[in-house]
Amino acid sequence: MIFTQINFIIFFIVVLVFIIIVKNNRARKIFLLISSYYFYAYWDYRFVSLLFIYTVVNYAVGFFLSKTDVTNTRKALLTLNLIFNLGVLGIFKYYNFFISSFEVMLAPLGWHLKTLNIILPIGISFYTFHTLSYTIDLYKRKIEVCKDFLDFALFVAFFPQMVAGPIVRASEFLPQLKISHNINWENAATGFRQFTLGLFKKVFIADRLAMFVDYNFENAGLFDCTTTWLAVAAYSIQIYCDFSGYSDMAIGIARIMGYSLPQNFNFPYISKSISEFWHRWHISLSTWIRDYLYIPLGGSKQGRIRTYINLIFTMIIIGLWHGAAWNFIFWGGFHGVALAINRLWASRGERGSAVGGGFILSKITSWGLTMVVVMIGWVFFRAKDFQQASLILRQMFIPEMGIAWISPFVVSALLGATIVHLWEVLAPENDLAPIDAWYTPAVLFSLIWMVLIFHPTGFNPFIYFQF
Amino acid sequence: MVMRLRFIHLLLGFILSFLFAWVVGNLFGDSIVTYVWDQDLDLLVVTPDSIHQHRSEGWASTKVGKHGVNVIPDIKRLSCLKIAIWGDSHVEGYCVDDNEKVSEVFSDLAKEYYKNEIIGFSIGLSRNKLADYYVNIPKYDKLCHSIIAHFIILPRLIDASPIIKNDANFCNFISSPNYQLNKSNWSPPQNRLRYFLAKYNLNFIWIIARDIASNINLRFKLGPVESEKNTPKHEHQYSVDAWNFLLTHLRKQSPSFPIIIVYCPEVAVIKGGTLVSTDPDGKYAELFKRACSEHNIDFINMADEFNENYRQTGKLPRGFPNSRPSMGHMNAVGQRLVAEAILKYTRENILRKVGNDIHSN
Repeated sequence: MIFTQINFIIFFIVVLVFIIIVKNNRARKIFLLISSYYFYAYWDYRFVSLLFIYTVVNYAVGFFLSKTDVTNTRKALLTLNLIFNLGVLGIFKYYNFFISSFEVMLAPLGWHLKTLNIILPIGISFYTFHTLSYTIDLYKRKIEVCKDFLDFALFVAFFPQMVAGPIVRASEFLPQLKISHNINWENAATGFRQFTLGLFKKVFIADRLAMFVDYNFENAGLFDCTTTWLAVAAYSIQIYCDFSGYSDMAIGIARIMGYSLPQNFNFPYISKSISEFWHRWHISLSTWIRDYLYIPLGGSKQGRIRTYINLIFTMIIIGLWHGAAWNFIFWGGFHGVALAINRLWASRGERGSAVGGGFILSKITSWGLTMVVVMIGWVFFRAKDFQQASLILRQMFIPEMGIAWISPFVVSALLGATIVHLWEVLAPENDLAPIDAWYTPAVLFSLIWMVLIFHPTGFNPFIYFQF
Repeated sequence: MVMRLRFIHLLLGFILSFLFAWVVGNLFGDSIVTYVWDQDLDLLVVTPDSIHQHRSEGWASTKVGKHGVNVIPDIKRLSCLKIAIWGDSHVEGYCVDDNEKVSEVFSDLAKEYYKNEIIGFSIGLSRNKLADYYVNIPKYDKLCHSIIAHFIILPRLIDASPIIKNDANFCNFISSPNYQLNKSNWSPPQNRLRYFLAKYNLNFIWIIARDIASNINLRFKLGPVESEKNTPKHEHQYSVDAWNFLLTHLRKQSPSFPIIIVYCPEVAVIKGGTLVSTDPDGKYAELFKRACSEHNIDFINMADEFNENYRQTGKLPRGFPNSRPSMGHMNAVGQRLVAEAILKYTRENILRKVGNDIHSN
């Protein structure tokens, strides 16, 4: 079930009522665990066993890590754990991709490997990273072992964040499970606010933009230059609202129950550099990759060339994490190169000094350049293959005649997004709907009405569910 | 004190948001269509003198007249010659303004040749199939007396085929155990509720209720969900026998005046990355045309007009900025092209002008 469906609302109300009635923390956690497993089984009961196996294996590794101080043994345990977690992820997500991609090379060697009929378990990319954060932090002795299997199982399966994030670290979440969380007005109000904002972003904005974007991309090359640029801009807003909307809903739901999940987005489209963009976009993933891949590779400590290589490699992994397809890998590499260039530019220092209007112009130029780079990246991310991406890019930069389609809703959504982002730049300390303002309930209820009135027909899953 | 303030905030918030939804719904939502019983026609028609606002596809308003006829206040009172234009939602024309509807464009164009001696009027209802006109043509013939031709807009050939589910508007055309035309008593769902909500312009509540009712899928069973098998809506996709049966009966419903089927296929349509100019049902359309001519029913195929218009002007006959170009209902361009085709046929085949008089053939 997804957060925007009535089924989920009913499910959540039942969970909430139980938590309100039952004060005992252990009983609550057991119920939350059962609910989380039900939530997962609702998609496909057959993969509940996979989730359980992940939990048991990672818990066991954690247990054994805590029992030994021998470096080689600890290394071996961590290595086995990495092989298990990444191996299972690799088989489910990447086996067919690598087989079909390298078939050309393997065939002359007489290797004819068949692709498998594999269903990608929902959320596997996310809960793999959840569990890895536990074992790696445990190995590095950054956290204590979680002795309570119930707590650990709930950390892995906690339904608000299990299937599409935010990626939660064990160090952030496990301590919260030790404390009893009572439903209180402040958490409920804050959580409801964030949930409602997320719901509005996902259903009213993202799903409606999807109708425009999908048609444009499916028929790439038929539409004129303006329409194509509009479609790419619309996709930029769509993916932001879809993913940040889901994150907001997940964070809001958890907050209502008294749990705190990390914020995942921070207005990425006000970024003035690609580096800043990755500090604001999918923060839980970028920080995870930074801490568990980029820094262990050496980060920026091993010279300029090695830094660039690390950046590009890390971003390729991020691309690959998103999907088993060459366009995702290209997207990641594209961002990696952009980050490397950004780092090179930044290391050469400011060229001259810009003050007053020149300073503002410089910021606007930086912002504009960043947005163009990000939007070009999104073309590869969204396109089903390179051919489609090239059709879109060609129409953007080498325009030919085509069908014009200026959707009033898309234009309005872009204008609205611009205003909201400008507000964030000019008055970052002022929320548009602060939690303690008298008009905030009116704003939130109005957003819910808009979602109900303009609910698009047809099913639009969260984009990040596919990852 | 703090708790009381919060409850007041919630209550105030709900009231303000309700007002906001009311305004937004009335500005950007489709108005509710209500129906009344027409004693003259002995069937349900859209409430006369109502104005339907359409926003979900296109941006238009439609003034509804008596007897289910759009734009014209009372078709019975007009003594001039009339062309009846039948159809489904394409002819209902809610997506386009009144002056862009096929009948109004026809009337406007006809003025150039015939002043106000001849007008077109349209009777359209969403989901209408060819069999529905079998029931309704004689009713309007009796109502108006001066109808000199019936043009039936057919957007899909499948609308001329028998159906499995007996859910037609006015006439179920079925094929089992044999071909039959069974009159149907159509009534709109929740008409009383529609009336109540329409009275207070609470269309947004209707929109929400309708969407929830049609999309709700309360499943609590564990997955995976097996995909539903596609049950065909039409038992016989295209059967010349079925067409012959239907056309035979249709022809009998207006023995004195011509019936012309205007086929408006989905051409100049964007599909799979290309602009498709070929009707996938083209060869069946030829068979249908032959069947029509055997029953003294003329057939106009708009495919060439739609394609040629696109080639010359770059404009597509279907689609709106707030829907998808080339898909959905006919826009002002499509409506005009059909109106021009009807006028051309009318001039060439039905009317001849003798001096200042107009005589029908």
